[in-house]
Parts: sequence; structure tokens; C-alpha cells
Amino acid sequence: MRPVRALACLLLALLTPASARAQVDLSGSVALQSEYRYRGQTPGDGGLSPQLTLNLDGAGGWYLGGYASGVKVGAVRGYKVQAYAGYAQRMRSGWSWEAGCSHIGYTKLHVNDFQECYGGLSGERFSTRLYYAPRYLGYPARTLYGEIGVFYPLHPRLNLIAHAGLLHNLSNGTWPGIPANSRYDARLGVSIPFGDWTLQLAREQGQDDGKRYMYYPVHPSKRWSAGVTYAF
Amino acid sequence: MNPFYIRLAALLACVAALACGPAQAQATEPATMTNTAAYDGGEHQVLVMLRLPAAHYRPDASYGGRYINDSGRGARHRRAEALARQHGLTLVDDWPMPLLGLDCYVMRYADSDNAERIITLLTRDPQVEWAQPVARFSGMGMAEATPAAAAQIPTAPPAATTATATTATTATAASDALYPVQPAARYWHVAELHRYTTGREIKVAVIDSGVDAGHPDLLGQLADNANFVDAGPAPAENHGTAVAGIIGARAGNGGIVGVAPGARLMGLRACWQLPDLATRCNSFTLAKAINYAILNGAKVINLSLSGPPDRLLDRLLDIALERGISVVGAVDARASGPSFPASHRGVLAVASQGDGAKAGAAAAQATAVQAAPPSRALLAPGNDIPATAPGGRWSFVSGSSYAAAHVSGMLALLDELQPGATPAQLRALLQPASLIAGNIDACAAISRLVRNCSCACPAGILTQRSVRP
Repeated sequence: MRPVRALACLLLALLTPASARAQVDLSGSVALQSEYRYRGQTPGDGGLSPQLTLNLDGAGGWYLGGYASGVKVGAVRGYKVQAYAGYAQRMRSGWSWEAGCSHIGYTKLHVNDFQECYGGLSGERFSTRLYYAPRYLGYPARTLYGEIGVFYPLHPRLNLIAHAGLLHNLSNGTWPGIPANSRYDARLGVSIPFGDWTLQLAREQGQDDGKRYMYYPVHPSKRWSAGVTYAF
Repeated sequence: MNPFYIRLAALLACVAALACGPAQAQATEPATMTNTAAYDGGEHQVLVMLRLPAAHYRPDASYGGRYINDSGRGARHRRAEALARQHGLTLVDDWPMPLLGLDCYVMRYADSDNAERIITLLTRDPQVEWAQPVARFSGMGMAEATPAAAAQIPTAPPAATTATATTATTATAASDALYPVQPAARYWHVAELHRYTTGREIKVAVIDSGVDAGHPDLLGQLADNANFVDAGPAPAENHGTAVAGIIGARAGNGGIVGVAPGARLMGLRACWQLPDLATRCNSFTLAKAINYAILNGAKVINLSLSGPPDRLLDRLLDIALERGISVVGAVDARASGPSFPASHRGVLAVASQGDGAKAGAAAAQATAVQAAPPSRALLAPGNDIPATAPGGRWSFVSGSSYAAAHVSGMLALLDELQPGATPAQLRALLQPASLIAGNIDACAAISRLVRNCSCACPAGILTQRSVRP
């Protein structure tokens, strides 16, 4: 299992001598989201979703991490597990570029496991990335997903957050969770930092392509979401 | 009622309560510690720069898009704490400097230790990009200000508008009792220049001591009033209030007329007033304010202060200049060494005009300092300047601080007319090769950008050119 191997790498890194880790930062977060939502879609009938992220940053720009999230697929509760690794470099302008790959697996639905690679740019208040998956959600569908995230401080204690993404199917055919052509998702909300805690409230909007599949019941295309995160 | 909406209402109430609570700091970058030690002049403190990992992908849905605060901050803080412990230091404060790719930490060392030894040790550590002393800077205004006779002038009713004032500005200048004695009026005829430009919506960062935002001449002129010295709101202090007024006081309030009354001032308190009324700042507070000014759209940064060369400020000023932000620094004519930041390449060094010998010395010093340019210091009015003072008063002030403020105002005027101009181009407009020794011909500078300019400033031209040998 690739996610297990990736987590083993994480542990190996943690177990290396302290001198070798002198310039390695371990960070992470735990979060509770009002529901699991991925690129505008919610499989199953929603419900609270706990999340955990662990991340290691090396001084040279390499990073790797692991992520787990509670997810309800159909009537079965399981976990989405993701391992990712990449390289990021800061430019003189203050922006950063990066490239990396990730493996995404579902503990209760391995048929949906898939890999994708990405590249992007990030600044102090924005990030943009393009992802390519040769077999999105495990189906023979090549997809591109482009996203832009924006952060804007409205007040020292209130930040505006916005996200827009577009998933484009490069293959002919339709599969569960994959649009025949393109599907957008958008998110606009506020985040409130509170020490190491952050509270988020957002309005989400997705595009209903009218296709119905098992595991993807009808949800309203516009809905509220909330989450609380503790970063460490 | 639908239970969902009840829950949503409760959540919104919670959000509102959290958002409306007292702000920890006026700036957008939250300080992790409430700290008063950071502005005690940097006694027994060093600045330690740790590399900030580049922003990158994180899959969690809760990631708000802002890498600097949302992720890894705790980890970096732990690393800094461990580093401090390892070298027998105490972590005092920190501030992310994403523009430089660094986290800046203030660490205190024992009274019995010395900065050089600590810096040498820290510099050897592979985690540390560099370490440096916390340098002291001083405002370039004379500490004692003379109350203006017009200080008793009753406050006039607020003017309806300032930013778009053209002929109105000239008219309202007449109602500003101190305008006739302002050198900006006598030599630069700024009310006439305001027919063509007022520096409308040009953001000028006044990195200084606290500005009196409630002063009648400054009401509504401040886009920001942030405090980078301590956690409270910015107090009204002499130096910052005077500099802000000279740059951007609005006309028609019975006091003075700013050089650029249409400019949006960013009051960024990085200095504080001492009991003897002198103005003091340090590397850390100035760096935070410059970082903020760059990130928040300043077009001109006014630094009416001077001190020793400083690596952190050097790097930030380079970035400001690369981004097309004009930086103005006051020359310290009494300094024996380099007068920083006026000596920094690309910064417009400004000395006080009026006293020939002093101005000449300042210009020579600014030239001598320049193993790196600027090769010529600009000269601007800096003696007996009527200026805004805290508490709705006015006073006469002197010093190169106020000369620098005049130049910042002029840059805002030029910026409105020539929005895409680089700092070097603006400098060339202010000080063409035909003029010598850094004198500014305000009328001619505006005339170069405005067709059919009827700006006739014979007195100004005569006065400016009278400085020729």
C-alpha cells in the first residue's frame, strides 16, 4: 500500500538523528469539518469529518506529508488517506513555485485510489495550481484540475478566503464523480485566527451536471460549510 | 424554525463575537507575544533570521490559503525556541517576513554576555540565515518644537473635500492661516501646483512615531494607523504628527496645507517618543513597518530617521525599490559615519535646505557616504516649518526629517501625474541635470508632466537657484 509506504518514510525521517533533522520542520493540524467535500462534491450524505495533516519541510525545499480525513462513501464510513511529496522554491519576487505528486487512497473503496501530479505558484495572499491525474478516481479518465485560492485580511481578526476550481475531463466518457466535460467549484468565506486555532465559515457552490451515481446523492449546489482547525 | 438555521445563527453569532473582540495588534501580521521589551531600544537583544519554508501544497480543506500563518508557524516557533535555549537566549518576539523568505526573531541575551559573541555563535548555526544587532535609529527632527502663533486658531469647519480640490485648493489655502509662512508655499507654491495634482489616492507610508489621526488637518487623511511598537493603538506623538501633516494635511482647516493633500497616508508607528521628546526606533520595529508598507500598496515610503547600516532593512528597501516604491530618507548632517537609510542605493537622500553651510555639509556627507549612491542629496525646506502637532495644535519644527517629508509629498504629486514612473524617473523629474546640488524646482517638475501648465513660480525658482555657488 503506497500510503503506508509514504507514512513509513515520514516516520523514518522523524527517527533520523537530531543533527540531520536540524533544518527539518514538522508541522501539522487537526480539524473538524462540517462535512467532507472534495472539488465541489460530497460523496454519501455528508456528516462531520475529522481531518489530520502532518507535514515535513526540509531546508532545501523538499517537503512531504500525509493527510487523513473521515469520509462517508455511500453508507460506509471510512478514511481518505493521502501521501504527497514535492519541491518548492521561493523566488526573488517573494512568490514560490512548486511541483509535486500525491497518492490518494480510500480505505473502504480502493477502486477509487488514484495518483496525480501538480505544479503551481504561491504568494503571500494567493496560490494557484494545476493538477493532472492520468486515472482520476481510479477510472480511465485523464483530468486536469486548476485552482486559485485567495486570502485577504479584512481586519487583524478576520480574513477573507476565496477559492475557485475547475475540473476538466480530457477523456471521452463519463464516470461517477467525473464530469463529462468540465465542472467548477467555488468557495467564499471568512477565517478567524484565534492563536493556534482557526475557525472558518464559508459558502460553497458547486455545479450539478445532472448525472446521478451511487455514492453521489443529490446535494444542494449551494451550501454553508464550517470548520475548526488546530495547527501545531 | 429549521434547526439548521438555528445552528447557523448560533455559529454566525459566535463568528461575530470572535471577530469583534479586541484586536491584538493593529497590523495584519499578528505578533505571537505581547511585547514591550522589543522597543526598549534593543538592549541586550539580537535579531535572528531563520529561513521560512517556501509556500506549498497542503491538502487539508481547512487550509485558508495563507501559508505563513495557517501552517507551520508553530513548528518554526518551536525551532526558534530550541535555538534560543541552545545558546542561552530568551525568545522575546517574532515576525514573519515572507517578502524575504525569513522569520525574524528577537532574542535576548544575558546582561553579562555581549552581542558580538552571540552573533558569531548564531551565524555558525546552519539553521540561521543571519544574525545581527538590534540597531537604534533616531528621528531627524530637532527635539524641541516651537508652538506656532497660529496654535490658537479656532478649528475651521471641515472642508467638504480635499482630494479633488483643484481651484478649490487654492481658495481654501487662503483660509489656512499658516499657509503664507509655509516654505512649501513661499518656494514651491503648492496651492498652485494643486490645480494640477494633489497626489490623489497615492499611498504614502509615514514610518515614524505615532500620528494624531484626530488632528483637524489630518482627519480622514489616514488610510492606516498601525502600531508596530507595542500592542496598543498608536498614540499621538510629535515627530510622526508633524511629518504626516507636512506631507498630507488637508486644506481649509485653519492650519497648514500639506504638499500632497490628496494622498492617502499610512501612519505606521515604528518609532516612539522619549521623555525628552526625541524620537527613537529600532531595526525590528522599522522592518515590520516597511514589510507592511510594501505588502499594502505604498507608493512612497517616508523615513525621516537615521541610524547605522542595517542588513535587514537593507534587504527590505531593496525589495521596495524593485517594486517601484519610492523611498525617501533624511540625511543626518551631524553623523560621522554613513547616514542610513539615506545612504542606501536608490533611496532619495534629503537634507534640510536653508542653511547653506549645513546643507552643503549634508550634501557632501551624503555624497561621501556613497561608496554606493545616491551621489547627490536633494535639498528641501527643513527649517522653521509650520507643522501639525498632537492635540489639534500646530508648531514650528526644524530638521531634515521635515525636508524629507516635503520630498515625499512632491513624489506623491508626481506619482499622480505619472503613475507608472520608477523611483529613478521621479528623482530625475525632481532634480534634472540642469540643476545643481540637489535643489528641487517644484514648479518645473510639475510643468514637465502637465501640458499648458501656467505654474509660474518666480519666487520659488529664484530661491531654489539662489543656492547655486
